Amino acid sequence: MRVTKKLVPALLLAAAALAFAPAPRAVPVDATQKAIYRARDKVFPALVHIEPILQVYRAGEKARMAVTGSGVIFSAEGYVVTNNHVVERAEKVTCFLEDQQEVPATVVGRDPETDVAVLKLDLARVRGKLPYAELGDSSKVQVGEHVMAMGSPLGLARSVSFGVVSSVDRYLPEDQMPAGAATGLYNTWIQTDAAINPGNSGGPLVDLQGRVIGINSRAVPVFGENVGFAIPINLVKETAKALMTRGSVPRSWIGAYWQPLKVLPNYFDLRDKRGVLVGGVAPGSPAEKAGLEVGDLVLAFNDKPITVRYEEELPNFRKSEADAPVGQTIRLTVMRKGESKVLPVTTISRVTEESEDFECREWGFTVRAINDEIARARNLDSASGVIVTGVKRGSFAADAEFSEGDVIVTVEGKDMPDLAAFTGIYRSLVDGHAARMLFVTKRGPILHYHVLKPTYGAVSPRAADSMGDDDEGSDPESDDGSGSGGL
Amino acid sequence: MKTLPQPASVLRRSFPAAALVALAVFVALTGALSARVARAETANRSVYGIALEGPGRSVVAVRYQLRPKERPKGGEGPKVRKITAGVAAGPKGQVIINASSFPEADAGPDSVEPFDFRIVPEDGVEVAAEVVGLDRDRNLAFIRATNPAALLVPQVAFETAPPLAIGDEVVVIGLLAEPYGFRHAAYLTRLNGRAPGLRAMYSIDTTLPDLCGGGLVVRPDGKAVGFLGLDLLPEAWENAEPGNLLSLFGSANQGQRPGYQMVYPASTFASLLATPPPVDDEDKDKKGWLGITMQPLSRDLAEYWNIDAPGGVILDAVLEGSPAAAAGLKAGDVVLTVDGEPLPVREQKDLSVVQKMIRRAGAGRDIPLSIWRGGEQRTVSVKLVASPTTAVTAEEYENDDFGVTVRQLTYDVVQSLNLASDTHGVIVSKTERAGWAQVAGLDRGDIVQKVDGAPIDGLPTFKAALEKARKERRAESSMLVLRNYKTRFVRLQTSWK
Repeated sequence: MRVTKKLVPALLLAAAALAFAPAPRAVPVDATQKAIYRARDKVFPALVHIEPILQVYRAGEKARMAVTGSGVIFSAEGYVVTNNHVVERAEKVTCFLEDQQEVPATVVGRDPETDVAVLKLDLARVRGKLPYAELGDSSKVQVGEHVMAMGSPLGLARSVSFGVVSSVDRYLPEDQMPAGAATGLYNTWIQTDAAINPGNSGGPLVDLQGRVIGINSRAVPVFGENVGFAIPINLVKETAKALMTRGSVPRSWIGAYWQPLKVLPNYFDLRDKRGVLVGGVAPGSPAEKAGLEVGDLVLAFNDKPITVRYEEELPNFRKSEADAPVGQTIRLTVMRKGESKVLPVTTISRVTEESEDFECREWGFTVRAINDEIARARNLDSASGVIVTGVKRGSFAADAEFSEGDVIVTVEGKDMPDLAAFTGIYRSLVDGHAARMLFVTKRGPILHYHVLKPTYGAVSPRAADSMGDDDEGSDPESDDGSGSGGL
Repeated sequence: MKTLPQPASVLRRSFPAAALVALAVFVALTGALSARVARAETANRSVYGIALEGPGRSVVAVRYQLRPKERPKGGEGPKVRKITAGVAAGPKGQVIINASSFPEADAGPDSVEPFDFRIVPEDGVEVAAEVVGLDRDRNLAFIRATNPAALLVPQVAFETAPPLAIGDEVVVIGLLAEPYGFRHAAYLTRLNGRAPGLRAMYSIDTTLPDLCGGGLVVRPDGKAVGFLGLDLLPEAWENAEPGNLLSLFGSANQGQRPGYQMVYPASTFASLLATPPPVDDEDKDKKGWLGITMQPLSRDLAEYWNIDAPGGVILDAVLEGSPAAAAGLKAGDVVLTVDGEPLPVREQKDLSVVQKMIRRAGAGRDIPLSIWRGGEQRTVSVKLVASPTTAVTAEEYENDDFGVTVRQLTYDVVQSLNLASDTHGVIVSKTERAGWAQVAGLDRGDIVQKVDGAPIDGLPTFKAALEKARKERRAESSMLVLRNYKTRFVRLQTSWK
């Protein structure tokens, strides 16, 4: 948030200059202006400025990072909706209400897939009655409709920008999302030209009736201007409900990669534009077991006809797949080489345990438990074990040629089936001041042998000082949101 | 303006003395220089004169050019002009130069190749030449005038006895730069060190100008005794790691590597002059192959396992169905000797030594390896086979209709991309800018597995499928592409105008 720090004094100066300027003439108040004021007054009191302290693992070590975001209170019990990316990995979350009260909050649940998170304010610390905003109905939103984006752009709290809805069902391809932020698989977005900047994340998009119709989530940071995207509030409501009742959103998966009919050659000449194309089948997935093949057209899902002609229709279809109960057997009506057949497929849970990093502070690297997602992305032969996520420069681990992406096979001859096994052996080796250890790691089919030779003992006071100065936790440029398109 | 005259007058006053001193120094310097490059006609019978008038006459300049092996359309690609010194030796018309003057022959598809060799004698006429021999071990290349009779310089006769030794004084005959007509120049120097290895190679106590590399080494009595090699230091060898995909996609660095001037005694190469070793024509069928990926046995690992050896290699992977697998070698085995020879391998850069040993041993040969496994040493005999095609030697097919170039999917690419060993298809190595393939989103590294429904298992099926599309004048085609471990269909448009 370097931008913020530099910008604020300049803005304050400008504000001071305005204060001494002659009083402006009264603005004629038309109907639209009146509506804006009314809508503002309905939502503004429920607007929240959020300052989380994140705990991040970067370049082989643990660090803290202060960020800012926005949110909106939507119930008298003190529930606040914001973006997952605002509070992901948050160690501590502080909210500032409209009257500048500072209230600590806890994270009730987060859903990375939709980028929705729910916080709960510590009501014991709130003075007075808690205002909250009304959540609207995003299915009624129209292109061209007036909207206001509220939040803390660049950390500038309680800002309002104004514009129209540019699109109600914008599709953003998930492979164009920043790495590690696979949002939009199950939803399209409300696009608006109301200014949305980093820091607006999690703030409400409000219609002129003063109802929240979306949660501002991302912008085009490089080439675009006035192109912001909000999660439709109906999806937010559904997600928030799941987060508040069970802490996560259940989703099922069969392991097929779907493509729209449009990618078929001679699409325009196709007489029968029905179904969805199977572009890929994950190895070992329920779809593969059920006999689904690349190139199949799926015409019906549980006897419900499907048509996915364009990419924009994919999220909705993926959502119907995800919404099927986990473990349910689904009937897929498949067209293959002119013949139709029905394949029963039993869904599995797509939800992967979020994997936390573990810092091997004494050796200078971080690891993480391998989950389904990591295994899929790297084509690992097993979804268990431990993978190196970062190596600190100049560390013992760097000397031993560890690198990000190495799967740890053995430590001192012992297999590493899970993170617990690894942290156990880490602690006992560090306690025993082990000075020479053999690690075997793997990258694809290729092994690598490492000898780790750490030394232990007190760090000299001077070294400790300089380590403090180098604390990357305060490095504003590494704010995940600012460079990635997330806010 | 008023302050200016004063320093000017000071200058004027002091000019004569200063100028005289400067002139004297200049005269002294040019005197010294002209003595060093003494020409024969000065009748100076110093060691310089003896060397220049005698064997030195065989030193010539050699011009050549480098061009990309893979030529772009509509040209030969950017070319670089090079000049080196060489020595006329062996059969009439033959000249020896440093092999390091041009890059490794198998440095990958992005590498360059030398061409357009011209021999430039000191006073004579430029003569076209071609490469007739190459010995990278000895760092010598042999070129010959296409019309040997046209090269009007004497072939030098080398003396091999008595052997050279540290402390010997020698005269190196090199060349002055091109603006000075590549005139011969003599430099007096002394052998001051010997490089390790069986083959003798001496350092000298002077750093000589560039155009001495490839020059002649003459004893003070006027006998030619060696060649001045320019050994490029191996530290800068990039892409020397086995299975390094960078060599496929990155640009091999053809920039200057640091070189070291070394005297190669004539005894180490005299026997090659009459019949130079043929240029290695990349005869893949003869090179030995084991089917392993390796890492150096570092000191740390050797100490950890208590292995007492000057070095070795650890097998990181043994390819299924390879000679190594057939011989029972396993990942984790440490190879300590190959064919009875110890492996002085401690670091990544030393690995090329082992690769060369195995390649040179040749396909079809049984070679003994002594390996260390779990604390015990044993000997394993491996029957080498010819190397299968790799990313570097893989065939390519370029299709103009779609603007796509693909390469056969080789085992090393499958291994480094962590794909299943039975993955089929061809890998996209290039897409033409704004070609139909690029417009459709096809990208370098994509693996094409189907075209218009037909499975692709290599270049012939891919070629046939695209030619079928052309024959049928298909308005659109479909490719099944493997990318990031997921398949997807890509719809390609074309036009047949």
